[in-house]
Amino acid sequence: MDAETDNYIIATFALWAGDFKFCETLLKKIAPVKQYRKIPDSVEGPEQFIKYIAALRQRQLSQKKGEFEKLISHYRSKDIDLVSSSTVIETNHLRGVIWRLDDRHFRLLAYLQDLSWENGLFEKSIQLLIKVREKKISGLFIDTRHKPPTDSHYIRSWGLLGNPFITVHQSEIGLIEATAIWIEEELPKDFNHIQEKLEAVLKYLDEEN
Amino acid sequence: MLDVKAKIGFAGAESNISTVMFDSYTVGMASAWAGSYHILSMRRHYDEYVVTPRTHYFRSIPGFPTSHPYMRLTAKIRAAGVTGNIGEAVAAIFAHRSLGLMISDIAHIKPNQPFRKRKSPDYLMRMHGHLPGPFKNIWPRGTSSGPLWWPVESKARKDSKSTIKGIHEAFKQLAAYWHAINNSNSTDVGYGMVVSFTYHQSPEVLITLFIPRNRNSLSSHLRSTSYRDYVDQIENDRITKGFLHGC
Repeated sequence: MDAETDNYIIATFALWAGDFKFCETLLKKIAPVKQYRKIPDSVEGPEQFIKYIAALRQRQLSQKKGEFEKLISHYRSKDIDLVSSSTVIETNHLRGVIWRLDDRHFRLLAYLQDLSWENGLFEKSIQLLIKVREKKISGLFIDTRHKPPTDSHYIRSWGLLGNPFITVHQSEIGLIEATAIWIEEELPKDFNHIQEKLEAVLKYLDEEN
Repeated sequence: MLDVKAKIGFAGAESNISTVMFDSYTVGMASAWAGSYHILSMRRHYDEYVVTPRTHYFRSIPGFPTSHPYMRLTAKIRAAGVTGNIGEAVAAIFAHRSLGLMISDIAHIKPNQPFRKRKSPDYLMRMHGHLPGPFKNIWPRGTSSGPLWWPVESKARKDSKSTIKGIHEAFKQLAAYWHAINNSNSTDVGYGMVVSFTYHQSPEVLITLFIPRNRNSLSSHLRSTSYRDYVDQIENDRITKGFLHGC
């Protein structure tokens, strides 16, 4: 059950990030909807309780997806093209989705897709912050006047200079939020540059550097 | 830094167990993950809803006062969805920070639209090996550390009076879980935790532990009651009489 519980927890993170397809894939592995319909009065322990919740979340997700698909077809008839997919990026242990907030703001919501790497993530972010503080990595900065944390507690924040200008916050439950602001007057011609910069945020944490 | 207090059952004496820092980014992200409501910037809401010394720690800019954005709330009321989201997050932060649970030990199980008949607790947490931990001074003597998985309910309330009501509401959700698993896992029945965050007057965290005093009797009692009777008994707190420590 440990692997299934891990998958369930990762699925809740994927839901937070808006990584819906991955979330559905994980939830299906835990509990096929047809086998776990209505929760009975008596449940076979905590693990089975989680399976029923996994099935319920699949149904809720499917319903919301259906609502959105209807909206998309409504707009399509007016020649407005919207899609239900999103830009996913991943590294060995992390996975995230990029969302556009407005003309100039983009947000990456990322999370651990390998929970056994929790300590690895915190160690890497501590190392990264120490290197940034000692100015061993160019283009990165930290604002805080506090020393980098030495354990898994508390938020870690840093930024990437340049265009886009990016601020990153990593919470103690392994959720990472990076906001990119396009700072040139002329708006971006294509998305590759922004995507690469946001991918770099995860690579700093999840690759040797 | 917020004081964390703990007590056993509804009537146990409160005891200080630690202090914990609830920074806005952590609360913001945790509540966006665990909260039921879609709020676009939980961090900024938390910053304004809960008065913390956060702005005091910013690098000072001469001439700019360290005023708190709470002042902007003087003309508005707090949105229930936002405080609800904050409430659903505090238990995960406490468990990770003060109990030393790993991320893989914290399963957020409250669905967005809860089951109609049965209320699910916010979390199931794998506590094995972590208890009594910070609760050792209040843990009932001769009591085991309890089951592997504990149901945990998380609440945020504006003041201590509302917090007490919140603990009673949370208890119903724990008891509903006990009723559901009683036939298969009767040894897990009676164990549960409520993590309450009081945010308005002197912010603090209160942990209420439910630990069975007479687990066999509690289990038999639950087995003998139909779901409808049992809901009625929880409403009237009759279920707690004699079965749980501190109740």
